[in-house]
Amino acid sequence: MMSVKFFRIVSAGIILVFLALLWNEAAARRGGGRAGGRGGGYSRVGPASGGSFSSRSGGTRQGARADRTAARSDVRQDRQSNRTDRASDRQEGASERASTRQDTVTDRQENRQDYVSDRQDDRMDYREDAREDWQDYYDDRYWDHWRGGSGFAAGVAIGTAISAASFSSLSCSKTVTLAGATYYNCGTSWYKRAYSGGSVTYVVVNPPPGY
Amino acid sequence: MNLKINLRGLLAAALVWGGIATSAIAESSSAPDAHLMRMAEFLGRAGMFSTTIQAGFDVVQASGQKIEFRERRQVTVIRPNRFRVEIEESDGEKGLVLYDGQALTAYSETQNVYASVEKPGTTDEALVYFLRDLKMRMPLALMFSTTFLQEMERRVQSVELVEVDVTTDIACLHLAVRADQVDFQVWIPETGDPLPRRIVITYRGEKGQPQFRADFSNWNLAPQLSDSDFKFTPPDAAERIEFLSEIRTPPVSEGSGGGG
Repeated sequence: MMSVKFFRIVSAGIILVFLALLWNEAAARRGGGRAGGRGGGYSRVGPASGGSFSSRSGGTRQGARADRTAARSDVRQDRQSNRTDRASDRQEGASERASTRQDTVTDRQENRQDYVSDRQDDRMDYREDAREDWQDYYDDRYWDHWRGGSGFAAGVAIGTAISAASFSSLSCSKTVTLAGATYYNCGTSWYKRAYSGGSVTYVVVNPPPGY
Repeated sequence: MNLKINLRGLLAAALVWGGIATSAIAESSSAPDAHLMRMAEFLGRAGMFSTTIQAGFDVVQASGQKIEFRERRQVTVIRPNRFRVEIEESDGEKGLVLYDGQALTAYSETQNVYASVEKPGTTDEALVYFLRDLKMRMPLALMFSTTFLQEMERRVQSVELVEVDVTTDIACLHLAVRADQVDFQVWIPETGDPLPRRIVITYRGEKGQPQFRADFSNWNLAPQLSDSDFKFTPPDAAERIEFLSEIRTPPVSEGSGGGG
């Protein structure tokens, strides 16, 4: 009789443990209990996740940029050369005019014209710089969202960011809220939440004041 | 005589029908790049618009397996200086990106946290800052820029008509585009406003050639939103956090600049 009761208790225990394991597995697949769930070991970050019209590997990007830079450099050299020529012409003209004692009004007019040309060149350079920056924004953007970071236990460098899924696997002993910011103490590291690449990540920071 | 008239009539009808058919085909097949550029120009010049984007993208895993993730975005752009993007990702993550001409804010509804920076300017400038400086994610951001046409002109190398797709809500020109770094396909209505219905970007230089796919619906060129829809009001208990780029590159403190 006693053995039957013991058998039932052991059986119930085994069933409970089995159910707990199933629940744990299901929770892990959901990514820590969130609706939907991010986890399961699958990365959401890749070259296509940014939905960009450019590519991280760049394809012809480097070549195209080098071409653009070279072309711009050539244009600038041409402009510089033109400026030098103009300056030279100015000097020669001035010498000739001095020698022939021509009216200095002509000289001043020429200087004004050269000044206007130089300013136009500067403006063109500026516009090209601005456009280049705009182009580089599209060419350079990369989508390192830090979602795929692996878990760290301790001693992680300041500024290192890990995904929420990785953070959930850490053993954190303390939570401190200071000036509206929440700090998480996990092992020997302190973490704060930060936005990166469209998702909330956990970044290693210095300990909060007093800790 | 009657037979002659009938033959003439048939010939004329055939010529007219042939002409109509030929012109229709010519309209669809001639200069497919013009259709692409018209779409880019239309979007770049629109004063305002909103659309729903149902997107999916491939991520090639370390194992080599290609996995698709999905998301839905409700995008509203009011030029010159406001936009609102509501986001719902396939794993349940919900968020919001707002720009009211002054502040640029990202909010995670799921975690009830937000990050915000002051960035007075235009939608274009805010998008650049969001992507380049804050390192945030905004798929298809180029399509929301006023320079969409110029960027297409600079990048596109060839455009070809694949077919006229009649399975969309309106018959669409299915264009195959080769750009400097990616290939993409776009479906643009054959008639009416050239508002794209679908786009598929293939990252041909990347391992596994992953794709980003987006279906556009609910285009509205006169969205009715108020100013408050672009201004972020933190919900109760929402915690303000920073953008990671701000933490990694902290601003220079006033005392260290050597000024004064």
